Amino acid sequence: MKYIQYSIIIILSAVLLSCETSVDASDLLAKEQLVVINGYLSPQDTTLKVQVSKSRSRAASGSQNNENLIVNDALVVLSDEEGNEVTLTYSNITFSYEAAASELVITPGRQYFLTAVVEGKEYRASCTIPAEQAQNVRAEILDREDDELGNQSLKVTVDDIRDKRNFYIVGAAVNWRSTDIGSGEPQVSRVDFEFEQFTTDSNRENALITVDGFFFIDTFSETLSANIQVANAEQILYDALRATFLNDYNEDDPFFEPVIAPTNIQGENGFGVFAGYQLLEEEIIF
Amino acid sequence: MKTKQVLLAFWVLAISITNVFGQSSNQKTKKHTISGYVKEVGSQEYLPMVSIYVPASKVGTTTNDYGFFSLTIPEGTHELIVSFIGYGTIRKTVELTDDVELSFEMELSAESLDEVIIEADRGVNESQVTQMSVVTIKPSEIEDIPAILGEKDVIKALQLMPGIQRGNEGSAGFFVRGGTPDQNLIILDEAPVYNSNHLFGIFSVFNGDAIKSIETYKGGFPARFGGRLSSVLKIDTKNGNKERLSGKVNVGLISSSLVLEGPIKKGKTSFIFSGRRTYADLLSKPFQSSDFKAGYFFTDLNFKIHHVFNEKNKLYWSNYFGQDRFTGDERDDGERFKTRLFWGNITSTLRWNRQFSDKFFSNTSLIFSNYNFGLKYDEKLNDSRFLFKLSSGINDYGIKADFDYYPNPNHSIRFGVASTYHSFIPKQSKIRETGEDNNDVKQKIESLESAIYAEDNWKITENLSLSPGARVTHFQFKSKSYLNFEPRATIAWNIKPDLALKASYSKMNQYIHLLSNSGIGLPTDLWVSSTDNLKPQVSQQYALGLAKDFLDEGYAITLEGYYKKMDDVISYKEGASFLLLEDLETGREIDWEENITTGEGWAYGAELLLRKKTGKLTGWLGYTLSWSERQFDELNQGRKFFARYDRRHDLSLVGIYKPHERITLSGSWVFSSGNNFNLPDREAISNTANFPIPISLFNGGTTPFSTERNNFRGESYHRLDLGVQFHKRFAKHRERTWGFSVYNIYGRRNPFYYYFDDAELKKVSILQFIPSINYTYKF
Repeated sequence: MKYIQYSIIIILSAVLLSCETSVDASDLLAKEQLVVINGYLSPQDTTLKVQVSKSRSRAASGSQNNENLIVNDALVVLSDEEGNEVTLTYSNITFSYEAAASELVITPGRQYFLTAVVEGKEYRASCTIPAEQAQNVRAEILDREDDELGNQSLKVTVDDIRDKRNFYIVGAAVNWRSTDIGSGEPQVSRVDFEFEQFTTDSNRENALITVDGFFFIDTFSETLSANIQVANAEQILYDALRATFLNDYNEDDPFFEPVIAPTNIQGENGFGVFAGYQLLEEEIIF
Repeated sequence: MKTKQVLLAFWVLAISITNVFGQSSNQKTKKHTISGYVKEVGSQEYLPMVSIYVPASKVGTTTNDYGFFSLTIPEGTHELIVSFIGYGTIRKTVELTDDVELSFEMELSAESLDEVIIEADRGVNESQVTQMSVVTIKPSEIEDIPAILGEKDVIKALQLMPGIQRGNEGSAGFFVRGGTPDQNLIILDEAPVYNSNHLFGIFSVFNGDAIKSIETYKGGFPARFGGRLSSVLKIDTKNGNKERLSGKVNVGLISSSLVLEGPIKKGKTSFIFSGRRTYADLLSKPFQSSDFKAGYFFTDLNFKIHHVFNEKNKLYWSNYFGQDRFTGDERDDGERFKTRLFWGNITSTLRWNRQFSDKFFSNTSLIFSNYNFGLKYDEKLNDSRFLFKLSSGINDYGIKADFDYYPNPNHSIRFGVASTYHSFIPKQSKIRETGEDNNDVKQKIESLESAIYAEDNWKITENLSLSPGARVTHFQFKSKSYLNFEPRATIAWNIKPDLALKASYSKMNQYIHLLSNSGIGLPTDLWVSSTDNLKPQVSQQYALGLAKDFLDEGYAITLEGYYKKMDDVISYKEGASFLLLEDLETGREIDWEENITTGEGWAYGAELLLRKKTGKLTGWLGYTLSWSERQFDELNQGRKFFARYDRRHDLSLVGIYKPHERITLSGSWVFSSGNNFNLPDREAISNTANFPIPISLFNGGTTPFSTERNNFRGESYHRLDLGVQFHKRFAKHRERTWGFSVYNIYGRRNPFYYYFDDAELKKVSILQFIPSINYTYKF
């Protein structure tokens, strides 16, 4: 009887155990490199930045340094509706093409244009800066009673920009200080809003936008303030960053269908997003 | 537009009815009707699809689903041939001077293996029926086809037919002519079955032991079926033996099953009970520690009672209960944690057959169907308790009346009415926590789906037949109602007696939808209703085909091409599925409609089926060449993309060889092009780098991405399964069978999914070389 039981268990294990093998991907994967251009403009910027790089096959990622993907000899020009333009220069520090914001005024509601020439090929895109910023940010810290590890939650509320569909991206950092042994140095914890970092007013027009996140601090500590950031972004920017978040979040799930990130870069093998946003930053003292 | 369509439908019906009665009133020769039932000797089981043919006048009919037939022919002496593959043919001479009731009892015939299909099988042969795009497979064939772990499976067997494709490795979900699993109408004794999977799709819920007949329609849908776009799988269970107690016990590696059937009142009332349960959980119990126990099982129970009041009134009460259940129990110093995960179907159907006259037959059904998915977590600490219950599901309450009318041999008319009240519960949760207020959430959607239909099988001339039909459907959700007209038609032209050219058109509407976030048939997949915002899915399918029978050799060949256009098909928006799962975890209310987008679909291709139905060697060769595409404005940046299971080639070869009554050898080989996978196959510097708000969790560096949905065509799939059965017959109908089979005998590592491990592309494969053994005893 025992022999039968063991046999059954061994066979069941064989069924359930999977087998993993390496696959020669050389003929299966897309080979062409994309020219990836990402640039986001905001009236609150102090520096205008555009990053130009190339994609690579993931099968080749082990053999290359990420910096090799950066294109540092492109010609990148931003212009506005009136024909004012600025040529961005490459920075070795940020790996981006930059110009001071004063060289091209970014005005809410206006359209801007990007032209990039990479290895003799031209890429174009345009964006429109959202007309309004989010308004009236509030934040509230809620203790989690059942959590003994210093896990706390932060609720952020903003008024929706009225009568239009908006796409918000929310971030926050909490400043706190340990009270365990006297008053310690102030420290900063980032708030993780998970999926709620990306929120829209779809079907909730003119309502309050509320997102909940959590952060960790020491058990014996006090929270001092929170720096809240709320971006009102063009949809394509919202979708692109959300795609990156979701794909990363679900990377280990084999059944997750990766989100296809949008692109508005026109030109041969061009990919990426050139978009506008408005940023609201508020320091809230507790 | 809708009103015009409805008027047109009734006009067509009126013309047809005028035509029918016009013919009958013009008859000069006196005619009489032979009507009755065909049953199986020994069990008194009513047999559907039996051919009753009069060779002299070349007219005939077939029995309906309840074994009833009616044939109106001129007065005089006629020879009737009653035949059905697998049963001994009956020849009977009838002196027809008045209407007559005749019942036939057919004997299951082992000798029929050597028979060839006779020309009299007119109602059954591919070239001699009007209907096209039908797959019929006998339960006995399913018994013989090798199956994974010896679990004989209706759906796995159907997946070997052209046009019916499997999904991922091992999955019991099926994809018919580019459709999706939720577009398949699966009916068990008239009741729809919402989840046909056990163990995440490795097995289907249909226990083959209790099944009497299986019919699958891929296109050219008769008007009596509706509510799904892509296919109809109709499974009818046995009524139970009315003469003696009989049964079957099957012991397999992972499950055992029992069938018991017999008379409650001999000749009048019978019952059949069948049950199946897996026992991995029971066997593993002794090996688990006392402070942590986990287990999984699935079970199926079928129970049916059939009562014959008299030949004209019969009652059927069919019930099915099936469930999958995961359990986990953990104990630690007075603390206890209990987890339960369960899902399953319950169906119950009460049917009343009424034969009003020798030409007029009806069936009325009361139908209940339930699908429920639940999760329960119970945590008991020293002085506190936390209980969380979550469930989702659907309840259907339906009533249906179907009428069969046989005015003359050239017409078989069916019409009927059906109405189903759907009660969807997308989410119901209950939280109980010591010291906290109760938290109860229940979402409910209610809708009413109704239909009327009429269809005719009209033999216009000896060589030309037409099956026109129309179905008018109505769907009510709150104040929003949808009224749709669905014309159906199939025409068949016999170029030669054994060669037919066929064409069909059908329009279908689907008012309920499955939100699937995995594509692999997880129980968390959610059925939802059309609403005022979410329109019904619609399909139109055109098919053209040739059917040829080689009657002397027992071969049949069909070749069909099809084109199917689907509108308002649904899908989750990009990334939305996991928001829904997140919602289930947190209990936060979100509107599921926000996560849905609708689009279009196209499916087209060709199918070839060469089948050998009789003789010692039976089986088939099936080949499908197909394309399946989708386009959604909000997916894949609005670009058209290939569906996940779009595969260019599917080939299957199935052989069952019975050299001797004591041995059955079987094998099947399948080959298909690779499935499409979503594989982020490129990477680039992260797009979050210059955005002022850090994106949660993201560590920066590079971002993996792809630019097309279903961008990666996996490697081709193939495998060989072999089986052998040894039978031994004893006195008093007893028989024992030892069965041995091996799934994927050459251990092909077929892709289940792919992923990148650094720069290396890895393939995960499951189900390689799975041997099994099972023992069956019939009595």
